[in-house]
Amino acid sequence: MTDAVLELRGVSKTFGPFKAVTDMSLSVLKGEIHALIGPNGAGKSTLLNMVAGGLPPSAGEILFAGRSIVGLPPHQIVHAGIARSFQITSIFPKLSVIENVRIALMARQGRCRSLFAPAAGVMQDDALALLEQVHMERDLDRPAGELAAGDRKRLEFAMALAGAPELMLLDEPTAGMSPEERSLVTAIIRKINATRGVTVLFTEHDIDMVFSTAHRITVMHQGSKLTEGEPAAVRANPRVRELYLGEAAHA
Amino acid sequence: MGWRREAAPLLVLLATMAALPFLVGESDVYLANDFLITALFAMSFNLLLGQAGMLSFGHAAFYGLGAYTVALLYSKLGVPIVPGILAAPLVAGVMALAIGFFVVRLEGMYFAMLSLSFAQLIFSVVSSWYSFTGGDNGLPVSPPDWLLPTNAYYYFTLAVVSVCIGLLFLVRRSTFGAALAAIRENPQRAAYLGLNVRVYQLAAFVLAGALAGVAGSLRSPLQQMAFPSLLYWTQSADPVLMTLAGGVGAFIGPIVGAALFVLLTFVVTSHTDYPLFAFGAVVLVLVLFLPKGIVGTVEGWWDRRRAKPAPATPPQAAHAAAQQEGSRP
Repeated sequence: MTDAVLELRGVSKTFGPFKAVTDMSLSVLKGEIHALIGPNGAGKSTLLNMVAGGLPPSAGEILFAGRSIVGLPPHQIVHAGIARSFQITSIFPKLSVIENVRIALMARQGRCRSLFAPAAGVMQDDALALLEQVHMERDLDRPAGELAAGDRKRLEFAMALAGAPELMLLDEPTAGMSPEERSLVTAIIRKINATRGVTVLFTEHDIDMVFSTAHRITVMHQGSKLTEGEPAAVRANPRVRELYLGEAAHA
Repeated sequence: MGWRREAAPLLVLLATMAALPFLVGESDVYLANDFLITALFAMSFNLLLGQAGMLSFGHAAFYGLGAYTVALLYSKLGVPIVPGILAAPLVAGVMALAIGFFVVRLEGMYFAMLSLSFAQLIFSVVSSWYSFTGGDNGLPVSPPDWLLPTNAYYYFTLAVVSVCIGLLFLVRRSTFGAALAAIRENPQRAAYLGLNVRVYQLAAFVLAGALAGVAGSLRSPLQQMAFPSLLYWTQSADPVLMTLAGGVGAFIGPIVGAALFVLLTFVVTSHTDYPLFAFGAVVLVLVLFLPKGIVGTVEGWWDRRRAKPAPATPPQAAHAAAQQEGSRP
């Protein structure tokens, strides 16, 4: 467990009397694809949000590469090497597709500080390469807000990829996508993980995608960890079958 | 949007304004000077609203501070107005830094209200500190002999305003401007891409405040007086209304709004004591029927006209052209 890139120790989050996350401990190993699954309201998004700096934990410690990141604002956590995507796609609707990716690249590289240097054309090759990776190189100048839901999600994924993060937090990266888009995004996740060693922590409701992509899976239930392990072991766990997989089969 | 399309009307306007003293009488040149200063005030405001999405109701504070910087330096220390005009953006900028430090922590209506409160605070100080500012008697300013002729001061203003608007033009297209646009569109996303949102908002607030200070510093020599009303909250409403009338999203929107405002005020003042009432009514009608403002509506109409023959060109060619446009430095 020493090579954990992200480590949560006894993390809790309460909103008034409501306990969203209770005493969660989790180790995401360097270079692995780690899935966080569980029924709606299990606390998965809250957990990701705490890691990304959006919510302060009520208790517990979060370590990234051995250093505590609790209390850091989101932009500093980004520069530490953690990128995220949102469950509800979050992009810049009135900016064009290429501008969306360009600002992601510029922000990560700290290249937004010039009052006079024109932004047009900055890091054009990197921006095009990212868009090619998600097969969106044809819609460069369209306002991002006009794109279909799946395209917006792919664009946001490209923005999270910008700046070569060490750890990606993806909240339902393939929700609302067509089967083709789903397999495209899944393939990219596998590819950046295999070639660049990017660690991925993601939530997902598509159980087939989870079991075919993740190296390890943590199952959450009512804010706590139910179990953690390799896909085969998790699939065989009777509590998981009862509480989650059975439920998913009916959905 | 191509930069040529935004630069062209600016250059036409500059040429027109430069030729104006040869075409009209002295009182009209004075009115045109009023317009130039008002336009810079509104343009500096729209760096906040149009580019960064920050609705400030206290922008007059920096306009008034600029006016008083020139007047105080002149009457207390005998500093001529040109060094005063150079000092004004520094004074207004430092004040914007101090106020901005607090106000950028708030969003939306709370940001608007706190900026208004700070502005009213400064207004109270300026209007009641008789021994220093002259209170509501104002503070006299007299330009040097070479700037006294209406045309001379007009060209001086035209030069300063052109430089400042040129600066805003560059900032809008800069990497800093791109960050502001991203923050305007989705501040949460911007933060999770690694932008320190508050710092960028503060930088925009300081830059806008400094440029409003320049506009104000040109105002007091024109009127040969600095008055506390330059800092009053109704003065803060002016750039909001001008920008809404001209168009928030268009670069020259506030300039067109300022032209409309200055002309209407001039016409209406000869008939009534409530010029802002008339302008407010006009803006109300414009916002209801042309929500994108005058310039935004004209641009939309122009785009639709040009879009009509578009299906004739093959999409690939259009795409190649668009790529060329994008890769141009």
